[in-house]
Amino acid sequence: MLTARRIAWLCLGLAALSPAPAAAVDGNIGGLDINLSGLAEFRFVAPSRESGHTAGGLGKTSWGQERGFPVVPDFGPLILRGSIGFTPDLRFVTNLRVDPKQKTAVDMLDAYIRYRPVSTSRWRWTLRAGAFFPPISLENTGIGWTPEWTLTPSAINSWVGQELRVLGGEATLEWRGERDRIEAVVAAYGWNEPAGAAIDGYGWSFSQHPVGLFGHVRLPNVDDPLGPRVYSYQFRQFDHSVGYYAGLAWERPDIGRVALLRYDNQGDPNAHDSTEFGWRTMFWSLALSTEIGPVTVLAQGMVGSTTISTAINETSRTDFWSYYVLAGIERGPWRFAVRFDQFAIRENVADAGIGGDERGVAATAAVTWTPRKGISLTGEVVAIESTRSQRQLLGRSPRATEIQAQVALRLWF
Amino acid sequence: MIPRGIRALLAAVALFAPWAVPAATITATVADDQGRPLADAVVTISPEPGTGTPSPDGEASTPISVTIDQKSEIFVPAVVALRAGGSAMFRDSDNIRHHVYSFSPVRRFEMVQTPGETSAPIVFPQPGVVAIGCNIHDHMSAYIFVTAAPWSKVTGANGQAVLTGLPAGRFVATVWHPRLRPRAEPPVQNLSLATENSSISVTLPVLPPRRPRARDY
Ligand SMILES: [Cu+2]
Repeated sequence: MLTARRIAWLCLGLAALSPAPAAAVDGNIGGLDINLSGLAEFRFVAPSRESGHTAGGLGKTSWGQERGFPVVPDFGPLILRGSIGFTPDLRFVTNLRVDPKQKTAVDMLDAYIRYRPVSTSRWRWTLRAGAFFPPISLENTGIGWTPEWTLTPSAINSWVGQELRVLGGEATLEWRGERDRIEAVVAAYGWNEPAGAAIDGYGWSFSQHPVGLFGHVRLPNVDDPLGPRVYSYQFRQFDHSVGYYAGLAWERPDIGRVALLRYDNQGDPNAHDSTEFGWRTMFWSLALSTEIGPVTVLAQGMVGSTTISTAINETSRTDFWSYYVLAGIERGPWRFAVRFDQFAIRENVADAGIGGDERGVAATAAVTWTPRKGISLTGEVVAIESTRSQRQLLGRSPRATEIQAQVALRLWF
Repeated sequence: MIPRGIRALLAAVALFAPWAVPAATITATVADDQGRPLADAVVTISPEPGTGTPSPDGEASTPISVTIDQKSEIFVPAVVALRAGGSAMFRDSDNIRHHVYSFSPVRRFEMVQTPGETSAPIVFPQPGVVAIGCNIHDHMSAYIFVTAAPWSKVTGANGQAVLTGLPAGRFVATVWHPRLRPRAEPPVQNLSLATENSSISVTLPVLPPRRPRARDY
């Protein structure tokens, strides 16, 4: 307790004393608009007592017991964002994530070209091409897939950050009415066939570790706890199918926003390369945001499945669903948020045995203090109760209650 | 953000307050429905039709020319009042380009601005709300409230607008804000003015400020 209090004071002191961070760098060099900005995070974490998925365990939190201390300091990530405007219509954007715990210390979360000609009519269209996140999250509005209200994203958006990336093209058409705004989006992509391996491998998680284009997710060592580490690389192409998503969103200032999206990577479950198998992953996502008095409410639900071939003419389908509801309120330099998540996975495996069925709930509470622009201090507690049958393979109870607390200093520059 | 301005125009006339004005100065205080001072509300005052109150000639206070600057990807000021027929210039004080545009039916235009550039004046002949955006930076927004009213002022951070130089007569005041709630009951206020300096206070039901979306530029 004393330690936690000391750490809290240390963080407060750091926030109060740290110099005003340098502003983002903007400049026009040789006719190109250059913008460089970033985010640096430093935290103290009281990890969960389970071993986390990044350490090959079946815990649900970003930080698990593997380091063996009740409170651990952690630097990172450092997000570096660069954007280049070639013309007013054409831009290149990338977010680099620097974190020694990744496969490569510097990885690229996204990198894409945006083409958006100006329109003085009600219609406007935008094209994106490259590698980018599908437009699913209402939470992760910060740079480098960081959430706005909490430190830890919901189960849904943790998963999106780990396994989904669009390597392809996307077209958005907007209609901007007097009050209403409607957006239609379609995309075609490849290089995401293994997406599904992680949600099948360790299930839903609450992770602050989105995976970059050169990264991988670690799969749990359930079959052979002492065996070599098993990784899955999400951004690979080895069948000839083209994945797609299509979405519609409607927005009105006095009501809010509703967005529906259908995603299907059209992966071939029988395809594989030297290390990865094809996962046919599809889902529906419905997202809502609104303001109720001073309270911002975000809600999102996702239901889908991923299918892998286990033998000739035999497939295994894993069904997953989750939803969350987040309520946030801002009062001067303070921001408060609570979120409730519920999640479940059901494996439809032909052969008997312990599968990856799971169900669980999570409650997250976060308080953010922003003494001035560019600096914030967030305290967050995530409590997750889950049942995952696979834990029995590690000799543990299928049921686990995890609590992860952290205080994070964030500096935007 | 742009549709909001147009939508808000539909519910724009927030206050009709006919009254006799012997005053030279009116201080308008605008608050939101929580009682907090509301900045960026446009208060206009015009002679009440049929009362014989003359329209002023020279001393009208609604600007006929405004300059909107762009600093750190923000339009400054974010809301301006402009006399119908007047003009606005845009300045880019950033060291990157901006692409200023409007698709408001009242006045459509678009232009790319390079660092340090001040545009030629853009004329706004028709009254109405013109929502201004930047096609590069979607979070940038500004509003030009084009009005035939001879007097108008935008409230500051303290929610106040001071309108000066009014002659005696009867006037109609309106208050508009970009975040005015659609379908909100417009507050109506009648005033009896006893002194030369008078004041009006208005409560406007407004939507909360728009929260940022994920940046894609
Ligand atoms: Cu701009």
